[in-house]
This record gives sequence, structure tokens and C-alpha cells, in this order.
Amino acid sequence: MSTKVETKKLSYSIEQSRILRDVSISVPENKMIGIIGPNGSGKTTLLRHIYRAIPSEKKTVYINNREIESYSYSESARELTVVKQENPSDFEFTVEGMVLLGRAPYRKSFESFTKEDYEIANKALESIGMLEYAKRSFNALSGGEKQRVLIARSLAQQADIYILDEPTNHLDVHFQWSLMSLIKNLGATVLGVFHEMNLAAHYCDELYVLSEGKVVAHGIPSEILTSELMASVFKINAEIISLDDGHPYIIFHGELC
Amino acid sequence: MKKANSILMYLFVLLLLVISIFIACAFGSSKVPLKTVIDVLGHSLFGWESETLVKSDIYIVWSLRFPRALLALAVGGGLAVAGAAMQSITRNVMADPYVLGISSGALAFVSIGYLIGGTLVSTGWFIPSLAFLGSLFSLFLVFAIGGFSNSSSPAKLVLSGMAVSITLNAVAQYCIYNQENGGGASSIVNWMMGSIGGARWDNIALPAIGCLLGAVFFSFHARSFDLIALGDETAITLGTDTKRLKTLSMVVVAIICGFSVASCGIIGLVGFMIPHVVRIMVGTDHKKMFPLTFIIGGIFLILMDVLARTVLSPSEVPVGIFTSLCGGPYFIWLLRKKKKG
Repeated sequence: MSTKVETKKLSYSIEQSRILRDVSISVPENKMIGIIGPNGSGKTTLLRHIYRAIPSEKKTVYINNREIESYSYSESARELTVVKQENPSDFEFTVEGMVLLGRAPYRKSFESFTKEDYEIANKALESIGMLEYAKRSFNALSGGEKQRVLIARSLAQQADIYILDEPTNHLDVHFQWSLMSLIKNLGATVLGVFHEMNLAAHYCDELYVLSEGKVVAHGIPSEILTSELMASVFKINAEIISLDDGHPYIIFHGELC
Repeated sequence: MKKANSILMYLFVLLLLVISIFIACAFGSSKVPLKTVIDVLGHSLFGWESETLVKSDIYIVWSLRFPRALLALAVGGGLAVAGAAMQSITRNVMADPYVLGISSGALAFVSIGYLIGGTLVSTGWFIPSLAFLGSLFSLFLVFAIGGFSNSSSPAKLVLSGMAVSITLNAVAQYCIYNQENGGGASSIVNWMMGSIGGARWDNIALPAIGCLLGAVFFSFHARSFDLIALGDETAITLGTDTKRLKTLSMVVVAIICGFSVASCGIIGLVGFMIPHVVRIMVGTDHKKMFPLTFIIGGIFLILMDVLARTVLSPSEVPVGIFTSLCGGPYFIWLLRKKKKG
């Protein structure tokens, strides 16, 4: 099985504070890999290196075993797509227009979108059940609806690798789970940062646990999620039970000082 | 929007442009009948024969008013597309070369040039290059203070633009106040407040080409401006090299503003208003937006210029006063609307 995303001893500092220390992770093809960790542990910074929002040092980030800096931006956008929270914008887009932008990596900046692009965009909207919203204004949607449209945009991008940066925030519990099954059912390679640990434990094949910029645990969820880890990394008193379907489930009892 | 509809819209806007140019050629301190305007333009552009033409009419229409309309088209259009591009890059619908202090940079450098330039001023390239450098200088200054990354707040950028603009305007005013030649100073004051009156066939080429090429550059990168309006990170993940786009855009904006200021002084808020109006018409689709913004910005400035030379005819009012009189209240209206929304 080939490795789709890899970081090798990735370090990053802002001024004096070290945000990431020698972080090495690897994401095998068609697996869903989760990153969990407390606030400020460097999870999002790690992802931002992978999706190029932060330029990385040479030979630290690899996509398909190739250095990320050797990809043009439109090349890397055809390989990986990002679902994250987006800042509100003053600019008006229709829902369809927003999803169509997922086709941008396949077209030159002055080229019009083709009929095929429109078909792909509409199919993506259909798969998240929002086709009838196509002509509406994106800004007028609710937070949850916006998030689903952004997922449709990622689907339209037709990339093999999905990078998820807390995509389920702002979603109610139904959409959190349906979003995760939707992505799981794509069978794509997924690397995601999750706040909701039980969601991560349920869907991820492997978890990396980050603390103070370091990987402190890595493995399949049922093996690494322990009361000790919860206490040492998350400062929480927790009990881990095993559900009938084999997934671990964390029950929180209270914070530790 | 359907394809047929957008073609119709373009045709309509182009028709408006042609009408505006005719109006600009007909009105002024002396009124030239429309029939004569058509005869003169036909004679000069296509060599049509006409016995009734008077020399003075040919001079007024062909040597003064027509190049003036062309310069207004280029500068109005150029400033409008520069505004549209700045708004998308800064994700701030309030951005504009004037609001961000870029025009003031050009103004200050040119004023310093007039003060110390001596004989250099009379060369054709000295003032435009100073204006370009001044625009670039204030662009760097504003972004250094307000922040270049998309995480920096749009309000901070506008504030730093205002600070830079106030400072550089003061520099310009000091230089102009220090001009010894009284007659020279009054023409400089006119230029400072924005005037297209200096347009002649021999001096409009540089600003016209600069503004037009700028508009072409932006149109060529239209989709990237759709993406960067959503934020740098989103633009990167959808395949845009944002650093390259921003750097190139800054140079192009500096060219447009520099050449505009060098030839017409400060014409404020065209770049702020026109993109708004166009966005209401076609949405945030820069491929449609940039060409329309250019044409409508041109029409707007041509008509404002007609106003500037007819209101107190036979004397002229600087056109910058009128564009700011339209743009200022629009700015206030938008601020209020944003607060409510």
C-alpha cells in the first residue's frame, strides 16, 4: 500500500515558541487518519503545512512520495482538497458558483467552466442533498448548510486526498455523523483534525496524538485511547469502554488539575 | 446569467459608452451640435468628406474633447479595475487606490519631483515614473503597516491606508505650497484635485496603454481573483499561487495608479464605487466583472468630466471633486448597510 501524505521531521517555530517538533506522520492510501490533541498542540499548524497555507522547509512534506514544493499550486490542488471552516466574506457567490470553484484547479484562470464542470458541480450538490439550493446566495445559508456546500466543493475537486480541519464544527450531531460517513464512503485517503474524540475513534483507522507539538502516541484507536493518555495529554478523568461494534468509546468524568 | 443576456448587457454598456463619448465631444464651454461632432469624428477617423466643417470645431472636437474622453475612459476604467482587484485581494469591499493611500503616494512623489526636478520635469517619462514609484512606495507602506496576509483585519488595512494617505498628502501639499511660480502652482492645484483637462493626443498614449494593459492583466487572471476573495488559504487549496498573484497585482495597481495620477491627479473613489455597482449586476465573477468594470468606470469618468466643465462654464471644476462627491456618500451608505447587516 502506498503512502499518500507524509511529513518527515517537520518542525516549525514562530519567534521563540516551537509549534511543531520533529513531527513525522504518514497516511496510507485509502485510510482515514485522525489527529487529536488539546488546544495549541499544533494540529492545525501541521495540516496548514500539508495544504500549503504555510510554506514548509524543503524535504519535510511529501505528497505521493514527492516533495510538496515540486508541485505547482494547481497540481497540488488536483491531488488534495481541504474541508475547513471558512471566514465569512463580503463577496456574493451563488451556491452553484461556490461549488464550481472546486473545478478551478482543472481550468486556466481565464478559461470558462465547461458543461462537464457544471455537471460535476451539480452532482456534488445532489450527493449532499442540496441541489435545489444551487441558485441561492451562499452567504444567506446557515452555518451547517455552508459547511455542506464546502464539502460539495471538495467533492467537485475530485482529489484523492481529503484534508479535514475540524470540518464538523458548527454542525449539529446528525450532520456531524452523516458528513463523516459520507467521507468514509468515498473510500478516499483522509487526514483530519478532530475535536470530537468519539467521532474520531469511530471513523479513523489510525490516530496520531499531538501534545506540545510532538507526536506522543500513534496507533489504532482501540489500542492507544487509554485512561492514562486522557489524563496525561488531555488532563481529563476518562473511562474507555469498548462498544459492541468494537469501537472504543470515551466517557468523560471530569477535569484533572 | 444566460449567455444571451450577458451579450445583450455588454452591447448595451458599449452603446452607453459610445453615447457618452458623443456627449463629451458635444458639451463644454462652447456647445458643438451633435451633427457636427459626428461629421468631425467621421472626417478625422474615417476620412469622410464634409464641406460644412469649420476649423475651430475640428480643433475643439478632435484635438481637445475626443482625446480627453479617451483619457477619461482609460483612467476611469483603469482605476475601477484596480479597485476591483484590490477589493478581492484584501477581501475588503471598502478598498480602493484612493482609500488605501496609493494615489497619495503618487501625488507626493510627483510633487517632490516638481519641487526639485527643474528641467527633468519637461521630459515625458520623469513624472510618470515618479508617480509609479510613489504608488509602489505607499502600497508597500500600507501593507507593511496593515499586514499582507489574509489574517490581518480589513479594517486595519483601511486605517493604515488613511494614515499613509494623510501623511503623504501633507508632503504633497507642502511641496506645492513651496512652489515659487504662482501661475504654476494654480495649475498644480488643479491637477492635484483631479483634472483630465491636460489630455492631448501627444500625452495620452502612456496612461491609456498602461490602464488598458492593467485591465487585460486582471482579466487574464480573473478566476484567481474569485478565489482569493475567499481568503488566501482557500485560494491556495484551489490552486492559486497567492504570493505571485499579490506581488504582480501590486505592480499592476501601481502602474495604473501611477500613470493615472501623473496625467490626471487624484481622482478618488472611482475604484471603490464602480466595482460595487458591477457586482450587483453580475455577482462575484471577475471574468465578467473586470471588462464591465473597465467600461462602466470609463463611462462614469467621461460623464463626470462633462459635468466638471459645464457646471461653472466657461471655467472648469476639477473632476476629482465630483467623483469624491459621489463616492463619499456611497461609502457612508455602505458602512451603514454593513453595520445593519
